[in-house]
Amino acid sequence: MKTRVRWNRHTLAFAAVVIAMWYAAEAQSNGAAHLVALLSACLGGLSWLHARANIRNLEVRLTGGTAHGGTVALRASRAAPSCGLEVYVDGTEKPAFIEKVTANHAVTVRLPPPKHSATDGVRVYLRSLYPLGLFTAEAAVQTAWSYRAHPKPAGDLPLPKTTTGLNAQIANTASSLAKGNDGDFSGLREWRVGDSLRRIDWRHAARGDALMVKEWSTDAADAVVLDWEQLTNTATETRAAQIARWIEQCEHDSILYELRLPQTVIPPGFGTAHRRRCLNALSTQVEEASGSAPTPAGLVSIRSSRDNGFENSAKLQPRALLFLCMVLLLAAWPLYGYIPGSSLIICALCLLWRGVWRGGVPPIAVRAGVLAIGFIGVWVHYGQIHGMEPGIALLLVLSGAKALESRTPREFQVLALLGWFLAFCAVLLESHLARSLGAVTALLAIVGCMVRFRRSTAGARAPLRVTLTLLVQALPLTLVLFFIFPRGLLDLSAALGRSRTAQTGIDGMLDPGSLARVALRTEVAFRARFPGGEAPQNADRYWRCLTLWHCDGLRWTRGAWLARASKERPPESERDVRQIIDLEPHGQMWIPALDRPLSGTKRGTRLTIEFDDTLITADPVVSSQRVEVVSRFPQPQTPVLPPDHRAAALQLPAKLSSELRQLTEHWRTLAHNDEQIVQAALQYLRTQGFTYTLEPGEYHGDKALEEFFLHRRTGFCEHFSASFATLMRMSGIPARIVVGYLGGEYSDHNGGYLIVKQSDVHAWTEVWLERLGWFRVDPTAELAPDRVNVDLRWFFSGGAAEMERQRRSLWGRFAQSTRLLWDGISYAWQNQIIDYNQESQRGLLLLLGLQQNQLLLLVPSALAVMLAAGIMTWWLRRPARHADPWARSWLKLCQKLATSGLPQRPLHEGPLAYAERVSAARPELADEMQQLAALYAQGRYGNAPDGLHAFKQRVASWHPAHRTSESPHSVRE
Amino acid sequence: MSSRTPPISADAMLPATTAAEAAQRIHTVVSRISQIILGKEHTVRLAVTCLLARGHLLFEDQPGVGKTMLSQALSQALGLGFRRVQFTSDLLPADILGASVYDRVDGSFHFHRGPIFTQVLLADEINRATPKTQSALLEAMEEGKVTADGVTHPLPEPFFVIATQNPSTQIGTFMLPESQLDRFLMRLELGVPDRDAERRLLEGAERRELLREMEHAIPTSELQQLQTWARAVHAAPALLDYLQDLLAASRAHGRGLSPRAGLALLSAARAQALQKGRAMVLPEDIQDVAVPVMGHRLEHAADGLSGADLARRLISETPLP
Repeated sequence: MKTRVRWNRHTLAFAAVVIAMWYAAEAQSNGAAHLVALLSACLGGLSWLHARANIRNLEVRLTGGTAHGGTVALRASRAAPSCGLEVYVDGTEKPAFIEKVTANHAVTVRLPPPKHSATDGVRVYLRSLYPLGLFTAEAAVQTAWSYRAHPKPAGDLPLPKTTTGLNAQIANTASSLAKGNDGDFSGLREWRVGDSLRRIDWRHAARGDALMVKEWSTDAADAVVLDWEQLTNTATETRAAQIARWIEQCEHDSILYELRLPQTVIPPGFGTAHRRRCLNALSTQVEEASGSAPTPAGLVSIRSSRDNGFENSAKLQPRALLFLCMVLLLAAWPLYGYIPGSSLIICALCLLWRGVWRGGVPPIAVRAGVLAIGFIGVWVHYGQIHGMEPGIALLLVLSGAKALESRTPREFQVLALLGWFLAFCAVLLESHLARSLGAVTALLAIVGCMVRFRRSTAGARAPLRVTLTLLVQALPLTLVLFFIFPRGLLDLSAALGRSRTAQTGIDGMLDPGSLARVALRTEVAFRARFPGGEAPQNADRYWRCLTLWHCDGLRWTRGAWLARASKERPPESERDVRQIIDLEPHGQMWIPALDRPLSGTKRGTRLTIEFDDTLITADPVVSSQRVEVVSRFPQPQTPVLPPDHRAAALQLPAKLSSELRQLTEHWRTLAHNDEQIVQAALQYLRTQGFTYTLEPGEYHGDKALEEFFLHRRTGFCEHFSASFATLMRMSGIPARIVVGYLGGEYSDHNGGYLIVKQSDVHAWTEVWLERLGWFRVDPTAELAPDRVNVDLRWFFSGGAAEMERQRRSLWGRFAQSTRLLWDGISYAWQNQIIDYNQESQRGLLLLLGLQQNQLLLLVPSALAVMLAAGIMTWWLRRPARHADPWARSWLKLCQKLATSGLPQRPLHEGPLAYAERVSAARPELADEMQQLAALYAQGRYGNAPDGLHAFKQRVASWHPAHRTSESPHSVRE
Repeated sequence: MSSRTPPISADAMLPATTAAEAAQRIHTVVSRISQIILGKEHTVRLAVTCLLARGHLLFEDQPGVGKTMLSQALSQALGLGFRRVQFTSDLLPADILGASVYDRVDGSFHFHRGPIFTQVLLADEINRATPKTQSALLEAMEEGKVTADGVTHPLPEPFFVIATQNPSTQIGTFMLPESQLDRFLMRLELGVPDRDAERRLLEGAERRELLREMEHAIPTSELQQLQTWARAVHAAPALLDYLQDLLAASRAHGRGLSPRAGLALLSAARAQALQKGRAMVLPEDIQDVAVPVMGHRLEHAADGLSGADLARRLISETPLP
């Protein structure tokens, strides 16, 4: 049985999906997207092998064939079961569908008789789209069921008149001689035109009945000639039908008849055998004349006629659609927040309508309306339909509309592929590990739906198992290809931009309460590695992001841009701290760096250091980015403060209360220099009952500063820094606010790195001191010294002592290690997968000592694919495991004996008979062999099976010596 | 196969020692008969198997090969009553079953038992009789009783019919229809003995003399005991799988074996296993009895192939599960 796997239109669609995935991944240089695209391709490729094995592992045997139909037994001869099979007889329309043939079992299926004659055996076709419907596997089996399709009798022409042939004349003569003498009277029949008047039974006619003719048994010798050529003016089929009708008539009336066809002449005769002969000749004639002779063995007819018939006509089971709709919702869910709600709602409603509420297919106007509304929604939201996000939104709308009109297997498949791409889109928008895992899960769920659909049986377990098997098999190849399949062959960088600006974390301003809100979030802001050495001490982990200059009481904003104080850059030294920062997207331009940054590079280009010693990029950070920063602490001194800087750093709001003025005046009179003023202010903060809290309450209006500083005195770091900086300015000391992060959790994974979360957000102040330049003063640290050492969560739940206590507890350690492990994996994902690009690939090539020609990588890729295909084929063809443990051991034993030079055991031979034969051939093995055979017989066929373990061990430990000199024919069959 | 014996319950397991003992006794019977029927031990064994399985036996062979002798020896060795009916075309059912005769002395009808009221009945040349007579006998075989004038007369226990049949090519025969062939558990062919056996036959004493002198190998009660044991031989699920595969394979080529044939095959295989001294049926047992049990049932199923050949082909093509 030769199996062939063909591509179909789903294959084309799937290829298009994979190519689109690859294109998008290349354009974004997104490793996770590459991975998903490769995984999809591998799953598709594997499904080719599975589809092939699904048919190839079957043995087809004809178990009976009659004129009314045949039965065929399909046996799955290998370990893998075969599922979702359509069985056709050549020329029939409706296939028999077999849901599953279990491994080592057979399924018998009844088939209708074929349409055309098949004298050399009816051909049976097997076809299957299992497992994913992406490929059509088919095979043609020539059975031993010979079938003759006789023309169906039809027509109303009178029987031709008789007897011109020589044979008939002889027969006539014989009959005329016989007549009257010993011809037996055989009955009466109705008179027909052409009957001799002499033979009418007049006595019967005299009774007033119809004219009847007497018949003798030899009468039939009046042969009728049924001549093909005489029926010239009718079509072939009509002619054949007419002759068939005549044959029936002759048989019924017991008339001898002769058949004359252009090529053959069948002499007059009568009876079943003669009739069959004539009809056979007639059907041969029809087939030759109409040219519909059976096609030569091949797959031509199945391909042309019913290729898409089933796909287009069969009904979609509601349950299959329900599952797919649910999975599509799952795949579309992660897009929430990135894609306008209107598209999502339209898609979800359509899916719910068809899947969950089992609504019918709405009229075309409704479907078109849904499409139109969706398109308009996207247009209104984006103002365009180009670009990635509008594209994804449109895809969502299209999926919904497709779901609305899905009613055949073909549309199901299209819907599934749309869902496949939707799952991928989630990775395109956001490539976190968790997000990628979610996308892969959705993708696998879609695969599961496809498998379940092609099996056409209820139950989720088997499809799930097949899906996981596919995944496990596809993963290794995917990973290998991920690293070696050439990237960047097309230069697509930045071809697929995105318009979204992520808004997370620190804003460009400081409102009372805004940082406290950020501090409640647990997302990772960035991660930092220190390739030069150790991570810095807690007290030095001040991550500078941006500075605020414009004071409005408790509210601070960026202020006007100023020119840099000095253009020259301080020389880098050994003691500077190098950091590699992997920044999560935040939609702003700032880059975090340890206070105070000296320089920064992103992908080889230098970053600008602003006048206020912050790092910024040219474009907003909308995707994960990696920057390399060099910082120095203690902070380098800035020698002079330019006048415009001084003016900006002393700016104050117009209305300030007199109480505050009195306070600053008081400090001024007490102190001799600026340092002492700062000390006095910090002293004031420490001693005047200020409270540090994450829930500072609301401060509004013009009097917010006084309200906080003089009355309520509860606040978060932002309140302290804002009020402190304002008061410093009132005292005549230039001051500014720095917003950034403080601290970070250290993780041992991936060589050690710091995880800085949004909850580590912090604001502190810098004051200008003549002696030191811009100097960091953290009023929060004065108030709550622990805050520097522990993060906010611990700080507010009991401080450092509590943190130590909890950290030592079992649960604390477990929770922490789990958290760090997960973050380590995410970070590794970010480093190894998402950022793996063509540069990394070049590095790999160089490592292997190859030229920098990425096309060379196609060779190992092809090798990997071929190797994987080979392994998979071998795995799919593995022999079935016997269900009975006794039989497994016994078969092992037989195999051992066969390899030791004895002939194979015939499949029908029983244990004792085989032992007998082995003993006769190799007397030295007789004892053990007969004992083992007896044990097996007792175990497998006895009523109290026992000693399986002992039997297994004896089989395992028995090693019959190899002997080749003995000729095998000494073994008697 | 007869339906009159009560079925053995499934939990009546046969101990292995009992099976060995049974084999010993059966061996005595077989060796006793083999002293008279020379060189045909295999056929004799199968005949005994058929008897143990409570089935009836059909011989199809040319005259003079010892069919009658075997039947007589069998009944003699087991101590069973023996009668022989020569079937002819004018034989009537009453000639076999018996008839009610008016007794003038007491003015009533009395049933005169026919030759069927025996333990071993040899129906010689059964296909010479008309279908009417044949079916009368075969019905009695199946039912295990004879009904005449509304009165039922049970047949003796055990009841064993050995019918002989001339090859169908001979003139003036009424072939047994398939449905009636099915009533016979086995069809055996004796065939001419090989040269050695024939020489011993020629040299030895007169067979009838030997037969007359032959002693019973086992008492009748023990035969019934053996028949009961044969029903208790264990047939494992794996074996039933094989049996079903075999039946399914036979049905692939046309009509195939009936469920009754499957039951027959199983009970014959059980008896065969007992004869080999085993308390369980092995595929070998089925294969041993397959040709005699399946051959005549498949005669019309195969075109161009004799039933026995088809049975052999089925055996060699059906793998053990």
